[in-house]
Amino acid sequence: MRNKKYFLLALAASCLAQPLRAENQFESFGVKQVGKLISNPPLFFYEFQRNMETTFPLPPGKRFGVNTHLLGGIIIIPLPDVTSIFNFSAKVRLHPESKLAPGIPQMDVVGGYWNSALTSLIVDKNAKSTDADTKLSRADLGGSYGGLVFTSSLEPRVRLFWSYKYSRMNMDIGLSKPEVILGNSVSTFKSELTEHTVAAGIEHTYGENKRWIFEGGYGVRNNLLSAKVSWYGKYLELGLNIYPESVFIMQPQVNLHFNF
Amino acid sequence: MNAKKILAGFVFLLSGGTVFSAPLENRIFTPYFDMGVSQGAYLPSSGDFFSGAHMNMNVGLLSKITEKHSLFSLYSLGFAGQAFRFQDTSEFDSKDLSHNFNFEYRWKIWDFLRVRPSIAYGFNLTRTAANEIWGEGLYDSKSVGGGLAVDYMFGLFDKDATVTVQWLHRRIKFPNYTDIIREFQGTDSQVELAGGLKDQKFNELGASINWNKIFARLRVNSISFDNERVVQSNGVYGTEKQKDSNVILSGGFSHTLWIFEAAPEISFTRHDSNQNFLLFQSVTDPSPVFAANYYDYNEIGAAVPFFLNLTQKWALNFGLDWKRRSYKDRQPREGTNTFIAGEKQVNHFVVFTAGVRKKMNEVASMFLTYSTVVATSNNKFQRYLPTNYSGQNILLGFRLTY
Repeated sequence: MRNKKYFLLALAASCLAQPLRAENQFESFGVKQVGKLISNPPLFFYEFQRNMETTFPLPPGKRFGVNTHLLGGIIIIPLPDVTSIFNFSAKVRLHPESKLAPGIPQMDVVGGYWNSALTSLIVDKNAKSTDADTKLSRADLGGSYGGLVFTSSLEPRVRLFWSYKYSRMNMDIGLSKPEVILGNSVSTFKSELTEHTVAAGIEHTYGENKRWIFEGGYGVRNNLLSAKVSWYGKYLELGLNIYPESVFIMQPQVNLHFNF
Repeated sequence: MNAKKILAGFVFLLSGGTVFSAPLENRIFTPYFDMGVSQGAYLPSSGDFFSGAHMNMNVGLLSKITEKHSLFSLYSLGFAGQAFRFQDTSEFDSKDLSHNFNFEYRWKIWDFLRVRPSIAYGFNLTRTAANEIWGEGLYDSKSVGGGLAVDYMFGLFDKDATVTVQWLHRRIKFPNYTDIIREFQGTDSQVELAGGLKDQKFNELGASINWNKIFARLRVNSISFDNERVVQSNGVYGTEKQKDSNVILSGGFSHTLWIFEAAPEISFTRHDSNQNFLLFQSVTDPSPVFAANYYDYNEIGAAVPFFLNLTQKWALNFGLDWKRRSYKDRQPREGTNTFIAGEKQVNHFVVFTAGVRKKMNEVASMFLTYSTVVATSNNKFQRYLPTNYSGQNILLGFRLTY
């Protein structure tokens, strides 16, 4: 949280006028964002799951693909997030475009799983409520998703795709003793979140193994908006996820894809 | 319930386009896709810094049944997040999330005449600054209706021109809306205030002409409230139902000359309502001040977006957006919430914009803009909605159209 505060303060100083009164402004903004986290912790962690989920279509001619989300982040520089270790996704092409009949789209089934191994590094299983400091006594975070992607060529270098995706995420976080956060006494965060997301986007290929992909999505169960801009090479994908209503709105991405 | 409707509508709309779309060279189904996303940081002259997003996505499908008959289906998702607002509209923190489905049948009777009957369904979720849960917003609404448009196409000075006449009808329901003061005071036991107070019928007749990237448009609409009645000078709601109307005239053109690109627009709106207003000093004020014709106003606006194309990919953009609303009878208020006698309220809203735009490819572009906003009004009472403020914002976004 402190890092975020400093980042926001730096942004205020560099980008906006009236820097002298910016500190209180951004502290207030920070408090609002913390409020979002406290009011719905699963939603906060689901943002990271959304980072590792992918509903981009398989490139033309590819039957099978695996991919992993390497880095994500809440600031400009992509860093490991809770899903980075460990996550895995796969895609299988069920139907290549126009095979059964002219115009029938490419259909891919996609899915993935993650379970955060990073949390074990910060958990103290021997923590007691009598300890002077509050510690994490347990932190289990994980989730999975599955979906269908339909893709049609609009012209030789532009494809339109749309998708349906079902996501599920579980979290179980325990503190060694209750903490008062924004006036609330909190000792555990335990919840499950499910979401149905519809999305549509455009893939524009501008060279061999070089393409831009734009995608907009909407989670109908939790009213979650998302947009994504990605540069997608042969193996590497550099992306920017935009979550308008979230705690961390713009999240850069580095993902690896291997398609066969 | 809404979730199922969105899923069903999305699948219905797109299944036609993707499952049965024809080869490129002989297309029966033509998809349409448009998306814009922006995220901004806002710093008002008073109040806290905030951030807000705007997003819209249109997914459409034109199905060509025969040479003369086609069907256009469109799903629109719109999100308007926190932002600076024109005075007397909504709070900075308010948010709107809308879903609209529109199905239009297009019949080209002759080469010069086309008719387009349509049906539409939509719902709008709102959050005020009170930050309600999505789906429980005070101004949440659902609308259902239809329309009929007639296009007359002709040539004028070797350029194509189209004259369109359109009629729209919507029934709009606001299931969560109520009048909190009246509920608190309990003076309106004859009306079930828990819902339906803002339910309305919307009718609009419009005419437009497009020629050589020049357009002019006239819209005349009326809004008839099902239950809301007009408050009388004695402070009691009478039997007359509220009825509003708007006359909106707009025009503009877009033109490119060498590296310069501009698309200026002007508009005029006349709003009339038979509703009056009671000015309460507090919820328990026993003698509120009556104000007749409180909501009638004239509004003029002008927007001048301007682009300087430095290269094929990079452009600088500058813009001016100006609005002026003058109320016919509404008196402005002092900061103490009392009317200023002898004056009429006038609001000004000016936005200056400067930024860069980069075309990433044939279908997409990104932009970064800086704007400064100056809002002034002779109304000094701004406990709920700011009327006099300035602000700055930086906006980063992208747009793509196919």
